[in-house]
Amino acid sequence: MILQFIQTNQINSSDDSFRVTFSPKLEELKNSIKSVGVINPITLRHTQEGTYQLVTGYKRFLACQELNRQTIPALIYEPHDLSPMQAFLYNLHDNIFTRTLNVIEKFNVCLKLIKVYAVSEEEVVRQYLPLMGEEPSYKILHQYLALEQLIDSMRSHVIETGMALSSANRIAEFSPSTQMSLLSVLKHVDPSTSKLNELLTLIREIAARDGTSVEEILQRYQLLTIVADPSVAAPEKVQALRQTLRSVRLPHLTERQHQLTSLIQGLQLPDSAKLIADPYFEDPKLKLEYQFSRPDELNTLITKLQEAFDKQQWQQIFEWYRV
Amino acid sequence: MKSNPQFDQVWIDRGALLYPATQFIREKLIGVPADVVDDVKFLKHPRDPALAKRQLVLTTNKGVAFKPCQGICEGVVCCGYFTIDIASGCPCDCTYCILQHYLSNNPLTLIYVNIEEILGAVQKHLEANAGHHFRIGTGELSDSLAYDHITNYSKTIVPFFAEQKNATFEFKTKTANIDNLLGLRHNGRTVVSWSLNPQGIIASEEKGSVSLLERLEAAKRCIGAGYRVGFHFDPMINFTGWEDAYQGVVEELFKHVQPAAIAWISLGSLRFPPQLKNVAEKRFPSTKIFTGEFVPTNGKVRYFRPIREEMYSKMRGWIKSHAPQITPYLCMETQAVIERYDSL
Ligand code: SF4
Repeated sequence: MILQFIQTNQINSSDDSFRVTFSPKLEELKNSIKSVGVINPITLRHTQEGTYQLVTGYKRFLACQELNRQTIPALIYEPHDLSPMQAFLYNLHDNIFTRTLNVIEKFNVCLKLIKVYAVSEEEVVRQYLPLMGEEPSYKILHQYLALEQLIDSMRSHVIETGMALSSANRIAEFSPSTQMSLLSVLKHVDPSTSKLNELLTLIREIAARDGTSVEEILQRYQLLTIVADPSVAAPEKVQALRQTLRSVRLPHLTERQHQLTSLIQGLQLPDSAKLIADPYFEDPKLKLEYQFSRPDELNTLITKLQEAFDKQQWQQIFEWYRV
Repeated sequence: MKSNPQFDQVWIDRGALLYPATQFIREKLIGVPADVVDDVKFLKHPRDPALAKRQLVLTTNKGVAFKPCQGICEGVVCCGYFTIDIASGCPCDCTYCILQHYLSNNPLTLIYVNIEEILGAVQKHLEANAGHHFRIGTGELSDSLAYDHITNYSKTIVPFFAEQKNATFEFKTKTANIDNLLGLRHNGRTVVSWSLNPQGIIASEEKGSVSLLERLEAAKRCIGAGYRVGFHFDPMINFTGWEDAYQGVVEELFKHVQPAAIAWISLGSLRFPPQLKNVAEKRFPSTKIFTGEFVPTNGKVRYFRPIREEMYSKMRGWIKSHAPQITPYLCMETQAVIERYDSL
């Protein structure tokens, strides 16, 4: 192993055999290099063909390239001193002990270990998942491996939004063109993991039930229009998306919830009174909640309840509820 | 070596070696590799459940093999059924099968070879509760008859129940594996039941089971041997055109079977623990049965109540139009739905 300054154009930048890093942020590093240069040398592997493969230091190398620096300090291994598997492990450990890998980087690690370095699934589960801070579980390994189906722009979106593995995994089930369509909606919202998973499940199930494409669903229910409105805040967009999709996915339940809402409104109860029903209409019991601090407030409620009785509205609610 | 249609490997628990059933089953599975193991708990299984179930473990059931039906949970009404575990795992592969989730940590097929000990425990329980009549079945962790051709257990079970005064035994199946039953003395104490669904659902969602017509033909043969038969429209699936499809099944049923031979008919709609859906959708990506209008209730997922009630009330009407004396009962339904069922 020798240390030397090497021309950046001698390094084969397209060879990403040992690379774990995905979509790095380089601004801070570039500023640092501009002011003090590259402090830690990168590691290279000299190949039999005479080129140099990057082992560690992708970000430093990319930053130097963007800064048009001609040379970079590098520790150079000859091929017989560093096998490809060792080189990959150098890179992995170099990254793992300095930062937390993102979802796509963990996917890269799993995929390369299995497909390039022929490590068994069992060993990846037992040894490498815990190394990356994951449970030693086949289910998790398969969730990572499934991310191979994600298109590049979706992978970037996953990183930018800090999307959870479970959501990325759901998206990976869609075809590349569907992922593109989904991306056009998702880039306008930033739902929590549970909300995003719910939205994705709703979309997938509606498409499966109706035997139609996701693109058709997005168009038919104008989901892009809902999320693209700049005057609406992101959480409200998520709420509107959810409501629209739930009403399509669960039409009978939604219809019934609307009917109940209008029946309750017809009672004209005081504002703080709440008539609560089982959201799924399984339990036939209704619950009335009311807060009051003065006798006249209680009297208001009693009067309204009585008026509703006189107009047969309670009768109507109970009869409707039984159907 | 001739391959076996059901099994690739037999594991014999050392503690099960001396039971006659072990020897009998081994002889039925000649040609299938068999190995003795000290403790079957430590057997590794293939991760693909379809491959795992092709490995048979012959062992003993030392736990409580006779118990109230486990389907019971809070807010759900059980029909007072008892179950005997004589096997665990099933050669059929129904999309909705709860065993995919329930046995996910133990997907190998198990046959308990200590059948006499298990029936001994049943006998004690029946004697200790002589004033009570029990309905007992074996179809909770397996199909009741799927392995009968290699165990011959029906030849022990049916005569056993023929002698009991306070129990009715039920085989619940989606097979036509009834040859063993036909010559047995059952004394009217055994009912043979089939789960029924439209042929389209059987073909797409009940892989490895026999067709509707084969089930009904098998029922006819059992009736010919003096058995009463039962039918379970369970799980009913709500899909576009379900009414015509299920009405068609009811018509087909009564073309084959006289109402007088029917001991009972039950109705139940598709329900499942939430975790099942993911497992099943991964294994059966083309299934659509989980896209119905489901809501969470009592720890399970069920069709929205008005949908279930409509299915039950229409089915009851179609059944009663052929057999006014039969009122189908509801299986594993909520208290509220059962209470309303009479007035639907
Ligand atoms: S027949 Fe019963 S036990 Fe067998 S796979 Fe189907 S549902 Fe499961």
